[in-house]
Amino acid sequence: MNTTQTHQQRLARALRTESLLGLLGTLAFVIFVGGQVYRQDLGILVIVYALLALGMYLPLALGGRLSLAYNAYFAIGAYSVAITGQQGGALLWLAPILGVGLSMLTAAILAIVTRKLSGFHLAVATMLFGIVVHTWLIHSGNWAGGPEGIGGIPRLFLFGWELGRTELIAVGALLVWVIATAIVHYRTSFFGVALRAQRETVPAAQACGVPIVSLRIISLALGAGIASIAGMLLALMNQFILPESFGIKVVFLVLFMPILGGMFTPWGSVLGALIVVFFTLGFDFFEGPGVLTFGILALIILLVFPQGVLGGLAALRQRFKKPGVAKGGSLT
Amino acid sequence: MLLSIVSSGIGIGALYGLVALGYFLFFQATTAINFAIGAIVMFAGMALAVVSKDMGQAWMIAMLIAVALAILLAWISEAAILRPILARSSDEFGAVVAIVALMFVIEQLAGVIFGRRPIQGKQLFDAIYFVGDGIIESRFVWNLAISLIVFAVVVAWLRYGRYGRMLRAAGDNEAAARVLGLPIRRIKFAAVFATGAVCAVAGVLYASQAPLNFHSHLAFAIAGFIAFVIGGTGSAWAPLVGGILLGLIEALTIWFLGGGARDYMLLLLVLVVFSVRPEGIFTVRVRT
Repeated sequence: MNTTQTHQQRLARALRTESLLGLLGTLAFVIFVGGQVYRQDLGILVIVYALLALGMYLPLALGGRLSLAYNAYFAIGAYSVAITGQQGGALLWLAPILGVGLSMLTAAILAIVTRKLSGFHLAVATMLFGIVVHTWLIHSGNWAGGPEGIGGIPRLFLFGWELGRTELIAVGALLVWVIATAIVHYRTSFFGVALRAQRETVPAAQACGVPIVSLRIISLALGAGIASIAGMLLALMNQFILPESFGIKVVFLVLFMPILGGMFTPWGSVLGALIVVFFTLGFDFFEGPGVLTFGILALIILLVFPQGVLGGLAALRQRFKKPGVAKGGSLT
Repeated sequence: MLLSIVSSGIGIGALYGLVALGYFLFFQATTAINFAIGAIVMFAGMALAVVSKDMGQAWMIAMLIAVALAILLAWISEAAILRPILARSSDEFGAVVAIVALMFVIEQLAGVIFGRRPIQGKQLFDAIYFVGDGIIESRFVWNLAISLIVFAVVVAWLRYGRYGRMLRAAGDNEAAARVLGLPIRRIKFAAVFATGAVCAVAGVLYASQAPLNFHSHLAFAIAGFIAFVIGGTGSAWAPLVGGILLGLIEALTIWFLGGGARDYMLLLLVLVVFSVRPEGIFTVRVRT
């Protein structure tokens, strides 16, 4: 009976269920993508966008801070792989350290500089930063390839095993599961609760001794690190990168993913990534209108189903549940 | 040389000021930043170019169509999108995402309807004035003149017009205005109407001076927003001051540091202004 379980036990069970379901979904995804080239192209995009969306989800849904600079972190990850991958890939092991470290540092600096901003002001300031990074990459000249980007990125070798396209999809999907599950656990951890508290009400959180600014900076840095992993995967998969993949339009697309999928769980961001890729690219005969359809769909969901797809499903499930079992908790 | 730089800065800044005026009017009605205004400007401009050039209609008719479309889009953004979302929760993130979605939709709509090639409207002003040893393009003079006229009309409307004064009341404190029995819905429509008209004028001017494609809107939206923030909300002339200041800073930056420096300058300006004086130059001072 539910009433004899403590809250802790119920929470642990819910977390396990969510992780298991996520793992099943991830496995299904990898099997579905399989070995077909076209599906792999879409599959890596889903993974890349899912990671970007997860990176945006962490500081946004939990911390309440909207940063639009994600194309910059995406680019840092990709370019760290591309640049260290030159000369035959001897330095490729440096890429994760460089990419994640540099993007986290950049995010932290940006967070400190914009710590007093909020709302649209914060959005525009971070958006401009993303635009500046994009412009800089295009004009970067020799060391970062300039407008032609960087090619000839070798494959990564893990313990002598080459990570080809199929392996990268599997590794990428696994990374998505690991990060999503980590965020799920983080959400209910000590730091996660503190972060969510300051999102709801700053004065009360401060009164409880929550270090608001530090938590925000850390969550933004973590999100940036996750986004840079997306860039690394993209560079390894395609074996070349172009600066035009890292424009501000990516950020706008990624912004919708947590909303469409549902803001109360990081898996909503993953589902959102699936939906976005499906609409913008998976629809063969909808090219331009595909993005238009997606935009209109996003508006409809925002207006009619603000809980997103997963939220709608959860609400449906509540309807069919036995009365008297109340599940509280905030939206995210 | 300096003369042509200053004149170009003022001329382009005047257009930024018009876009900022759109933000200002919309802000009065909703206290929200309608980032899709850049897209509305672009849409109106493209509509004018397509209707007057490709469809061969008279320029006046094309202008009216552009204005009507802009008003329609502004109305949709307020009544159909912002109002339901703001009513549901005061969480500004929902409004931000909804506006971005609308911006996306307008952009894609423009791409689908007007095509993806850059479009340029008929060039209205191509005279060049030679002053001393400097050059002033007449379009900059016209931009400034038309902006001044539009601003003067709007300021007069806000000060003396019936709905203008009611808009100021509602903008100051909507709840109090409601309690006083002001027709809030009609006031919002009036504001939306004004916003759309101003955006259409800006769009028409832009279309006549540079090729527009369906990606142009972001530049307008950002520049207009920065001009709006610099100017502040204390006076209806503020957006024009903000716009001209931004235009001058931009022109001088490009001349001294080259075209690539523009984005860096904008970022630096934004960070400085938002941190040091986010309320802008003109603020409403309330005695407490």
